[in-house]
Amino acid sequence: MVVNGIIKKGEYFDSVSLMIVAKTINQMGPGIDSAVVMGTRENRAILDTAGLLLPAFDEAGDTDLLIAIKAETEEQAETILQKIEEQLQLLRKKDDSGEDFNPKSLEGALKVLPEANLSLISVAGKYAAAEAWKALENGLNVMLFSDNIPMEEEIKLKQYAHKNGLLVMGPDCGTAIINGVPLAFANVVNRGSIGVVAASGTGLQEVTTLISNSGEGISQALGTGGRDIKKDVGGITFIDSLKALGEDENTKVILLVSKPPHPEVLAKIGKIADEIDKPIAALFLGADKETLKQYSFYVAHNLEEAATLAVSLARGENDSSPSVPADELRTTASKETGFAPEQKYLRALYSGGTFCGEAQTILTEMEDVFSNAPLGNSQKLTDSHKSTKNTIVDMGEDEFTKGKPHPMIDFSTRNERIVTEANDPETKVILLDIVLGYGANMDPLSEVIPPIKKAKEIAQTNNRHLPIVCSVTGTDRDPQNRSSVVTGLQKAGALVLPSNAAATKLAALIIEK
Amino acid sequence: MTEWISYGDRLECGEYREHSRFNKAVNFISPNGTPVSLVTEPIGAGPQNIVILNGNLLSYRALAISEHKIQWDSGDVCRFSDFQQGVYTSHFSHHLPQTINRDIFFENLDSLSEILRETAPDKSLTFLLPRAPKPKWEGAFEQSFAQNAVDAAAHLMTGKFTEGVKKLKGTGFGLTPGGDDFIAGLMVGLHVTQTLCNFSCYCSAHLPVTVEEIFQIAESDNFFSNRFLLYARDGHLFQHFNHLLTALFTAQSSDNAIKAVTQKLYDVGETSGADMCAGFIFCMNLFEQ
Repeated sequence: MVVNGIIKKGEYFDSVSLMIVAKTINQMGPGIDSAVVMGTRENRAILDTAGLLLPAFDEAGDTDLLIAIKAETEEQAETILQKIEEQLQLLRKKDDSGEDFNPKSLEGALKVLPEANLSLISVAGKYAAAEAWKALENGLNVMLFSDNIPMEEEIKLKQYAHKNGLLVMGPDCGTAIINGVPLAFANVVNRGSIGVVAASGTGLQEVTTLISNSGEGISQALGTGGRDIKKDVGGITFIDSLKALGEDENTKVILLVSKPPHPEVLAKIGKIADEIDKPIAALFLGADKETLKQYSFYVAHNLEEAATLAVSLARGENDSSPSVPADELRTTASKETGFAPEQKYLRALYSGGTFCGEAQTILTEMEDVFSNAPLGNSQKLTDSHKSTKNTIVDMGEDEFTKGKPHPMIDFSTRNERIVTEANDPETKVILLDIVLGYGANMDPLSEVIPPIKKAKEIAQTNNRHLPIVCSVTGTDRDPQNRSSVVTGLQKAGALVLPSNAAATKLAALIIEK
Repeated sequence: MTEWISYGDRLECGEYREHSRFNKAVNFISPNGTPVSLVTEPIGAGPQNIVILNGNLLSYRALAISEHKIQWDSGDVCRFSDFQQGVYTSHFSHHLPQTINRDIFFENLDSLSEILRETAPDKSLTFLLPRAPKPKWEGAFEQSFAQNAVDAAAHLMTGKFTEGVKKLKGTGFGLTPGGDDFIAGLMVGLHVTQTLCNFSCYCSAHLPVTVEEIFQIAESDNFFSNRFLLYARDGHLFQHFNHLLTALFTAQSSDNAIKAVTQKLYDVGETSGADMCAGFIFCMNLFEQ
């Protein structure tokens, strides 16, 4: 007698289906023994007692399905396993209540779409690495939206991907645009000749939408996950992405966006950039300017500048002028009057972490800046929920999102904070980012306008003037339609700027008044 | 058009992505492992279930739950106030009558046992109950599993709860192994025993084990089993089981009500409902004295 079997990892069949499979096997003839059970340690012990345990089953987890067959010959066992696979596929199809086949596994999905070369994985962290391995081993690139994956696992995944000519974007990669298709939190942008590599989700969204709004377009926008540029990971995905864009015939200009990479990683990036015969603009937010000079990048200092530079390079120029000239910002700021003497401080409430960082790098000259994610000269807030003097808050941080949706989806926590800041007589300006696109709140106006109006009413009641400055990240082709959102915010009395950089500068000018 | 029927009282705010999909249910999970299930009416309400009617489960692949509403990736937004039956109160204590009559309960428990013996699916753990027919076990695994279950039952009957639970956990057929379902039933039995104890001045300290102790032993990495076990530990039950408890405490000398509810329980998985019932009855039989 021969024992053979298979493990179905990460495929979930209801109990009725499993019983049907078991019955099918039993009908295949006398002398055949089988078990179709979940791979718990205890079931494996029983399989062992029954003489049906295979060494490969040791790798099984509690939610893996084990199918063990004892048959007279190897050939018979193989035939039975083949029939089981067919039956499981049939059962998957029958499970659908809709007309289209809804695959429940990567293997099933590949049968429907054999030409797929990317797997987007969004499952709980403890299962995500396994799914990523499955994808890589099937020759797919991976976008890992999931987080809570150990660094060691990330490194192994990326090393394997690198060796096999694949990319792993992530973990915690929330944004990418591949062949014009927005993935996860991403925007609908023009196709074009600018390729982006970003270790920053909101950063990627800001630059791609600004580029698109300028009339240029995106060839590919690749996210790497925030840890990729650290020393341990070594920038594997960042560098491979950069190389890929260097070789891509549709990419004429490359834009790099991240926080400062580890010096060793930066050196590697710089070396590769030097070898690519295309203009490369780079924003390493908060990096030392002198360090960057040794490389051939066109260096930008904020996201808007990076986007403007990339657009300019795509047009054969070299211009990084801001979208809103400084004079115009000063004029706008000068119109904000009627402040009470005690109004002094900026309260910036961000849903995008990169915007929180960018604001701090722009406001480097401002005194008494506090943040829950401090950069540069900023001090750490004692209590993220309570502002101190000039406060710049990343409301996507853990202390705000435990058990709640991200603030890009659910505005309620930030809305409460807007009103809280309005009640503080020392608040002079409130600064907000509104990020549009897939994955984000589909009806931002209905959620953010009421607290904006309330904030203004509170200020007015107390003989104060309270400007609320917003940036809106998105395009008119996004589901929310950027122009509609801008118009709605302006009607509510907000000052709306085309970028976070412009909004931050305006806020700073108002504070200086 | 989707009709929103009820939502469980243990829903937690957060973002959820699809975990697994079945004919009548889609499971979602948050980044920190909290589950939510979108189910159709045959499955019924549960502590973390959202029940719909006429909806296409394929339309829903992700959701975000906030204080007042649920936002789906499909674009659907349903406010909690939109649900026809509102919140489902899952703790079993809310489904018991104000006045507990032990005689009625144990009489109905006998009826339930009889019903299970006659109608429970093949290969469920009902065979561990007294006078239950023994299934025809096919193959080495089934025979080993059955013997293991008998050994476990022997431990339980002699008061060695931890040994019995250790032997049962993770064993058996189905997406949620039958042993786990049986253990969930044991835990519900302990809750009900506690309730009966409180009403008869019997000192609950005489119980040889707590639900927490059982859960600690039975907890596993099987996402599906663990949910049932966790709910059972805390006394938060699915609708069909709560209805069963209500029937057990209130049905009058007729096994039709109990039979009807038991039939609905059989709709849960292949043997899960029956296994959980079996565990519950087994526990109640132990403490009936």
